[in-house]
Amino acid sequence: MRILFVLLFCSVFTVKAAKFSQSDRINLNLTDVSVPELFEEIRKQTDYSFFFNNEKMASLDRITIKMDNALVSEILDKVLKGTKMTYTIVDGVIVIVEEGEQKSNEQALIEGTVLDAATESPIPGVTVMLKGSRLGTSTDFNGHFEIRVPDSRRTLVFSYIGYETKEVTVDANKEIKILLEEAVLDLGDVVVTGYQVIDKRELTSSIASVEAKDLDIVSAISVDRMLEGKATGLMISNVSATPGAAAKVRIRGGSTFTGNQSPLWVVDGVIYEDPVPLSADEINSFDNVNIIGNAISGINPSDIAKIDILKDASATAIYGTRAANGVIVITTKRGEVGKPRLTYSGAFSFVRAPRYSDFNLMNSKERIDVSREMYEKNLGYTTNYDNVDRLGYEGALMNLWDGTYTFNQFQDQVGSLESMNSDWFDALYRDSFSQLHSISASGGGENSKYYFSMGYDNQIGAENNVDLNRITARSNLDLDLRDNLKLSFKLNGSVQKGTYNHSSVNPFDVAYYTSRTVPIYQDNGDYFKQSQLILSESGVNYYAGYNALQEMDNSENNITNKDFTIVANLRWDFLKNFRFTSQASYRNTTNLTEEWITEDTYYAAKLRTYDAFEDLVESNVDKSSMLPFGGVYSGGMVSQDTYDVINQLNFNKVFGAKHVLNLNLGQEARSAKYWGATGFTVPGYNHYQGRGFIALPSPSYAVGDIEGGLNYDYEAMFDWLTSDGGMSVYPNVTDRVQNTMSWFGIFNYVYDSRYVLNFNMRSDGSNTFGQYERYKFKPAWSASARWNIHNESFLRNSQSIDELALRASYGIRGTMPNASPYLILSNYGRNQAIYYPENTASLSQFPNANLRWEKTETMNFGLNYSFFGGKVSGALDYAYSKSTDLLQERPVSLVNGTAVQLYNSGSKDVSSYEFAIRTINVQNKDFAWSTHLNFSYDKDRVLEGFEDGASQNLTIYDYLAGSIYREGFPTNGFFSYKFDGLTEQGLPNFENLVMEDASAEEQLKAMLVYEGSRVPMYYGGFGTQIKAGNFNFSANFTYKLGYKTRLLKLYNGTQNLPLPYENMHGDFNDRWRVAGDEDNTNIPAISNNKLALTSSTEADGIDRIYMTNYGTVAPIGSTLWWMYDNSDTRVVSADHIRLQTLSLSYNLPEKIINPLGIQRLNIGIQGSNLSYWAFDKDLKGQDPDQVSGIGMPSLPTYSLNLNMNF
Amino acid sequence: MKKLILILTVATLFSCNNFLDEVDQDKLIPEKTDHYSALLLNEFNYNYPLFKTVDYMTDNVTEDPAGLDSRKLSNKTTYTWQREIEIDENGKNISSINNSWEYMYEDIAVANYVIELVDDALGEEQDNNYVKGEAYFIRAFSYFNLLNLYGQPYDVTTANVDLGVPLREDIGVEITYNRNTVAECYAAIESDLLAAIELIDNSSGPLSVWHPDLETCYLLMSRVKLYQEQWDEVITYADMVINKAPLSRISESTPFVTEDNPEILFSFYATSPAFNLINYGTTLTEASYRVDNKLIALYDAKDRRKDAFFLGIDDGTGKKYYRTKKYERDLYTSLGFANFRVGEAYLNRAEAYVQKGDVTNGINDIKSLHSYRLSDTSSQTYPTSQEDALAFVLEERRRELCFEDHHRWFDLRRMKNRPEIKHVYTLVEENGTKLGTETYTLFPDDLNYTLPIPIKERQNNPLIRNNERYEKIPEVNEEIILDKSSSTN
Repeated sequence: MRILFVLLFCSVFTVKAAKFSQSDRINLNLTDVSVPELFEEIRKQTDYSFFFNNEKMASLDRITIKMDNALVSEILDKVLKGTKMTYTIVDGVIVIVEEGEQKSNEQALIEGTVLDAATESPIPGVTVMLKGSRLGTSTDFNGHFEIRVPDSRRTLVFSYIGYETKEVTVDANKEIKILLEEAVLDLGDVVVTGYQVIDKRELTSSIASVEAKDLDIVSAISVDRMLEGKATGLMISNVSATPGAAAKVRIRGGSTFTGNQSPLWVVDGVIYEDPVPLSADEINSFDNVNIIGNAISGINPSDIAKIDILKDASATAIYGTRAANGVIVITTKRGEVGKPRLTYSGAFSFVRAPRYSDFNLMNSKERIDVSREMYEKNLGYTTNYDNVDRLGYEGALMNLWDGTYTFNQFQDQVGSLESMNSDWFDALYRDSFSQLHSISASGGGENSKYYFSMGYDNQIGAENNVDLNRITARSNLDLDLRDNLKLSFKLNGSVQKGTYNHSSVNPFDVAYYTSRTVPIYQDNGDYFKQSQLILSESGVNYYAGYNALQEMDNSENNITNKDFTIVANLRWDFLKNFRFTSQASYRNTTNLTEEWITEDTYYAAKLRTYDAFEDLVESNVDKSSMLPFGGVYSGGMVSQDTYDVINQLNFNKVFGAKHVLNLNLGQEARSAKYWGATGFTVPGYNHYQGRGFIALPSPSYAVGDIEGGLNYDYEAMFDWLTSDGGMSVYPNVTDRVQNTMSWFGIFNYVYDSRYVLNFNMRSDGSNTFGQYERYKFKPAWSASARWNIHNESFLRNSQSIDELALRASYGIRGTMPNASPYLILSNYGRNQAIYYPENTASLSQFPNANLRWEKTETMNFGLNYSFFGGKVSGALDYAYSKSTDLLQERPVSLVNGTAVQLYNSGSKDVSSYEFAIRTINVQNKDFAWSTHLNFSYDKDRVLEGFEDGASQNLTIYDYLAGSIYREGFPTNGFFSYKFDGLTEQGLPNFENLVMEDASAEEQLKAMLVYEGSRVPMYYGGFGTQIKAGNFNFSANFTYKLGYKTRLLKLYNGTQNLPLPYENMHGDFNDRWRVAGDEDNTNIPAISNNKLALTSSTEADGIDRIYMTNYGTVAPIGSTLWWMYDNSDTRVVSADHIRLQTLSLSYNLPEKIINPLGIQRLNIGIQGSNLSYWAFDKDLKGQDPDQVSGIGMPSLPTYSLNLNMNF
Repeated sequence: MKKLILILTVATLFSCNNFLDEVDQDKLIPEKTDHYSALLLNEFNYNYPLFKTVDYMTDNVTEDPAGLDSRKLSNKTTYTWQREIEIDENGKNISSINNSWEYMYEDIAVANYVIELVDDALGEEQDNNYVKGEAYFIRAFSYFNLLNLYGQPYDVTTANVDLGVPLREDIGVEITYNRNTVAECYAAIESDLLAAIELIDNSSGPLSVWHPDLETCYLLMSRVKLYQEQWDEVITYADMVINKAPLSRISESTPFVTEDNPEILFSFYATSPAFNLINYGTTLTEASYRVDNKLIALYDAKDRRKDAFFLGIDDGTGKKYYRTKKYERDLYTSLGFANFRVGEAYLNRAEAYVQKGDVTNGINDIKSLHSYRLSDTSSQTYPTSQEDALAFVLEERRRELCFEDHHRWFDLRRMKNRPEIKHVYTLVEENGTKLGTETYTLFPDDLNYTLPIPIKERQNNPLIRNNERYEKIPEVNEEIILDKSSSTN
């Protein structure tokens, strides 16, 4: 690791020979102690050192001894009496030997100098121990040491932090020279913070590490999708199965309301920004899926060596104002000295298409049964619906009534409908395959090391047309220019191209909501197109044919992400203890989006207002046709550039062998810029005729127009030019810049490898701070400590405890305000030219000159443990985070010129409990078995949110979606309407619809019931690995508990009666049918009652339902049916355990592959996301992680993978 | 790559402040003088936050007895001086009726930002000075309006304890504000006006009649002094207006407020008018509120203002009722619906003279005004005693300034002998059936002369003290309904 080592003093035990005398008298009062314990007591009182065979001494009987004012020799004589042991004292060292063994009165003096192998400069403070004993010393300032050892054993062990430990057997009385090689710490022994590399055993912070081998979901191309359940404190939601969709990532519940709650991604010391500046709402919302790409879209998981998840303040304070949501640091692979190594890994995955059996939907027969009931109950549609195509049972009835069909034909028709069972899932989805390949070469010589890789990934989505291709490349080069000057370059880039369906088509909704009695194809194999209304004018209805497949065949949505990063890092060791490091990086991402749909679609027909061109209605062309010819094209481009320079000066010194001091001062300047134009939408697009546009014809002067005005043939088309945003030819221009300048300091002190103190501080100035605050450099700081109990003398001899360390940290970190500190104008220009011969401008936003960063204080207590030679290991953490000054829109006095202002006024806290354990149950040459478990519990709570009576800015949607911040509730707490059973007519009933004189606030309180959190409070993973011979088997599970989810909607839109082409949820099979059913079911009757809410007291209770505070407590235009979907009866517990992966792999025997030139060949199969066990049976097949409107949840995937080393 | 070099430089020198001053380019962050000017023009001038139902509270407005309840209801709370004006009888929220508070403070906030920032704007210093002066004027005028709508009426003896309105003179955001005293408010207004005068004097001057000039500031200052009964200063500032700008003759047939009219110092409020009397309803007879005929009766037959200001409409029975033309573009104004006019300077000075006992000079000012307002002044008689002269001047003020800005209501508030005002409200059902009448009275010493602080302000700012107001209990007369029931018998 070349980034930056913090040289820490390694665990040493040195015996300083001070003054000692045989006449020293000591007092002993020990009960039932082992002999070595007795010796330790003597050592403490006298400064004598002991030299003995531990095993033999430990086998002696335990003793009880009480002696006052005794000579050491008296004690030893007494203790060793009858043990066949004897002792000699040489230079303050008491050597215990077996009687009969050659008495080693002879002493050998060994002296020498320890030098750095590369520079040949002396190394002070090197521990020199006699092997197998506790006898030792350390080198002085000139690297010189002297040690007297018994003549019989002369193997010395030299160790020093940062260097390889060396064992040397030496001849006595000879000056020797020892050369120590600088050690490259194994990645497993360090954690990487982006600014520092820290020895795990000196770590004071709460950092969870994920090794490359644990990133084992072979079918995933993005690392965020692999991390679920892998580390404590890290909560991942894979909300969508769409290739390229970003997972929602939270570390310890996040720490902001309005800002981005996602953690910061850092790759090899470089902060990665998202390619497109999505709003915090878009990123945070669990109802929104991001396929645009996120910060790490271009990182190939096979290039990753390690991931460190920085959780507490001590770990993240160094990131200053970006740190409060935690930081995820990715370290990529580097070259190692040795022969070139070529590695290939590949994987093929298969995803089974979703089927009707995965969902609880009606089949044709059940659906016809609903229609029959509607007919029998004489229920008609309350909205205008002309069943033009005579679809479904209703269509058959119409045919019967108007004489088209005889009764027999009618019955035949119904019979064929009942058995039609169109398979929409089959038509819109497919079994999909994906392949991942990566090849890398690494190696290195004396002065350079390299790692090159290239990867190609292709994922074919389960949804038709969806396809993702990615190429990644990386080159990491480390050069040793001189002995004290190292330079490394990192270059990486990627291109990811995703093809998706047009945003107007949602195949999941089509499959989910379309009746299975609607045919997909006509008899001749063409698509069956349903007639859907496109224009209703002067009593004439115009229809166009709709089939989702036709839309999908004639449209496309492309998203391309390119990124390119270059990093240069220089390390210069100068003087004796100083090191200067400088890192400059540049990263560019480009996001290109393109979406088109041709004229041969319903989408275009709707804009055209007539179906086919042959159907052209002359008068409509001018009046209503926004798209008289061609299709629609829209596109956009956003580019992001980040420049970053970090300079660090490091001072490292060892004082008196036990004190290690490390001081880092650094400074960083960073500029991140976004620019681009998105969302322009252009009509007249001709895809299949050379991808051009049909330009608008030039206007002509009308014949006979007296005023000579322009005459234009396509007036309605001008709509594209008249608005900004939406369906408009004008793009939104993005041009943003965020500049930050920072100072930081890291102070580290280790005493005797037992006590570690750490202090971090960082101060940022940014152009995004309010103008009163801009130049106030904001300090983020942390202080932390660690106590390595295992290095204390009382545990040092313990065979069972390898590591036992307590950690504590406290610190303050921040979040940049997610708001502009400037006065912003809009509509600047000659707007009121008829009044003013001048420009006018409107106020778009008041600045808040006092805007400050959001602040999070975190306290963390942790315990690391490792017992029995690493057989049982893990960590326990408790953290308490309190975030204050959270920005929220809060009501303020109107005297400020506005009734709401973003204000640093909110606060929340999170208590996190984390526990991780890994056990190695069996470890033999041919068989190994290990298990692991991690558990996290985040209890987050809003301390100051929106107060009662001041919720003007909250809508009911915020309550239902869980985006309110209310005191005492979790930040993702959500509410539902309180369902009050079904009426005697089988209609839904709700409590407190009418509360005269109640304020909206009071009524909301009465009508809504608190459900719980939308995000899991308890989460984690567990699994097991078994290695038997050449076989490896592993199973990994994840679990999420303590949260709730809303069932998928029963009602599509506001229509209560299903239209003939609409399917219904299987729950309707348990619907209310006859009076009395209300006692047994909560599923409402099939009804044509509109149940639309109104504020009018004259409501009839059938079509219109009176309620108070209409418009606030329920949105305008809503119905009781909508309310039902959002009621507590449609909320279930989402607790579940998921079988994340099941893998089996086989290493081919070397004797077979070696002749082929292959070092290692591993073949594996894996099933991922195979199954889940949900605790709430009401989910009935709905994946608990699925959210309405997002589409397909994760699907079972089967993979075959191959890894080869040459 | 230039940027990288810059950062490297910055990194080493660490003194380049510009790095932290860069801004997003996809938003218009004002930097040129004209950006600020454009903001002020739109925020204050075009969208002048008039308290739109202010005239309904005066004796200039009465109801249409035949007007349907459903049409009249939305203005009833102010027309009948209800204790709470933002909630109608049916409990419906009509908070927009009391939104002047919010919008005036918005203008003040804009002015505060302009004052804070415009000095650094890219432009000529003289232009910056003007825009800054304009912002001071807007702040002064907004506080003047707020104070006289929501503050206690001025009383020299208690002004430093009476509650005015909260003063916010910087750009810091506070969650709550306390009300300053009336005296503090007037002091702030005067200091802003003096600042405006100094800046505008050292500036390139207004671009057009849509921006205040020096005389506008003097005129507002004379008004501010008049309200505080500082008669000498009223005369001083009115003189500065009168010496600079002439009166002009009014005509019944052509709009009075035009760009060419030298009497118009400053025109504002060009957005949708408070009263669109002509176009209100589908037919002319559907007006729910109309001009009180007692006001019409105050105009002499030779007074051109009657036909210049009002439109007489036959109500179908041969009787005429009137609506104001002051909110009609191209009938009265071709500029804004509110104006600073030289005429007011004469009225301010006349009142000050009379108050000081100088009846002759006072009446002379009225005569000067009359010579531009009446077709013939020869038959006019003018009072001679101070008491009569004062009443006459105030009546003249009502004639001249009715239905303009907040004038009549503010004048009523500061009067020593306020009239008792009665407003009759007829309850008329949708089908035209009259159910009865309610008569409300605004007493001379009525607390309801001061508006309630908006409910939203009281919700958001628990510290604000509301004004005490009376519940208004009407005298109910159900004669009409009795008539109806007797006739059906």
